Amino acid sequence: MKDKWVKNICPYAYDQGFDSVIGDVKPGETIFGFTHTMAAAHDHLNFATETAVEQGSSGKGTTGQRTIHQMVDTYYRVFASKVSADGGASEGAGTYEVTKALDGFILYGDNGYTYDIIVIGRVKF
Amino acid sequence: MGRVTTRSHQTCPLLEDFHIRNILGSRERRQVIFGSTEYCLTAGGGGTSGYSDFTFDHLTGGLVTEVDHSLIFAQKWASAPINRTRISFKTSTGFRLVGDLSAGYDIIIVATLPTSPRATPKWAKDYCPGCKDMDFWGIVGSIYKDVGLVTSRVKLGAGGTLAFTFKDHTAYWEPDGSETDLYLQGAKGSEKSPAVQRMVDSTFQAVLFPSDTPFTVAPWTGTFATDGTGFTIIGDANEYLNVLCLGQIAN
Repeated sequence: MKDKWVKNICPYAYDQGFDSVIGDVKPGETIFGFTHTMAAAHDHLNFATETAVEQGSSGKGTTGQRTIHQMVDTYYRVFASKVSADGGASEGAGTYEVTKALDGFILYGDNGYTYDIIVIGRVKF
Repeated sequence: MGRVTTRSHQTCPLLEDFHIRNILGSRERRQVIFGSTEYCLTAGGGGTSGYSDFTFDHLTGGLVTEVDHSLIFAQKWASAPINRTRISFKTSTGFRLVGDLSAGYDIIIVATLPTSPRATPKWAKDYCPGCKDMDFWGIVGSIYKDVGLVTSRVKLGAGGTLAFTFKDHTAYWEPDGSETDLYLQGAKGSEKSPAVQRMVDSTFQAVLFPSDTPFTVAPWTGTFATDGTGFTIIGDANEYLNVLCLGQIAN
């Protein structure tokens, strides 16, 4: 298979314009992400709220996305990255995640600042 | 809860033909992940602070020039962070990474490509029984072959360090064996083969994020093994960290 790419085998990858795909270690996991602006020193991030997608008449997402409502378990991993215009405060030592539940988790960070966030785990679509 | 089965092994030819154990699902169409290791921030921000402006074109060698939207993660390596790492001025073609002057950073980008005329409104599960079986709506694309995402939650030792090896951490949930991974079952010491033995070399990317407690020492990555078997993590004693690695698997 040295001469082949995923796009030569997988029609979905070809149609999406992917040369290859990302592999994962653990079976059945999905990655999703969103951007969140902190409203306090710690916010409860609800997956359904953070990933809400406008639904068309067919019930399907109209922007090529799906809303995430719940995870299968709490063994998912969270990563957050501070994104802000220059002049903002540096990321504090208090940026971390805690209290993971099936429908969301609590993020500690800097009030008023925005974070890129990704979650990797098993999703209950 | 029982063991999660790898049903896609039975139906997905990609898992036989490439060095990946499982496919990573997505909730978006045209979502890709790519990374880059950058050797220094070149512009001075005053004192020890520095920054560099990066384009996606530069980071991917021209393979990705524009994205619809992106989520960007960066991690300082080789020495402890002085200034906190952050991203600013994100656009569809690039961003600014702010951190320590002359310091090196690993960057991992989760991006969604602009709509393509070739892209259909169908999802991966509409194409393939393997993706449907795994409840995947979409899958994540890559610009390179055999690239895998390795994620784990680890606990640093009493000295505030951990020697992270892919072999250990793709087979067990906890390095001390106190908790068994529901996804990759097997007690420590069993003969179950790890999903990732090593990456092709030391040019993989690693990003850390604290879990459960705030930190006093900002976590950073130390030496990367030249044979791609792992790297060292430095932070607080007994600290829990989420680890995200992106690299070309060499099993």
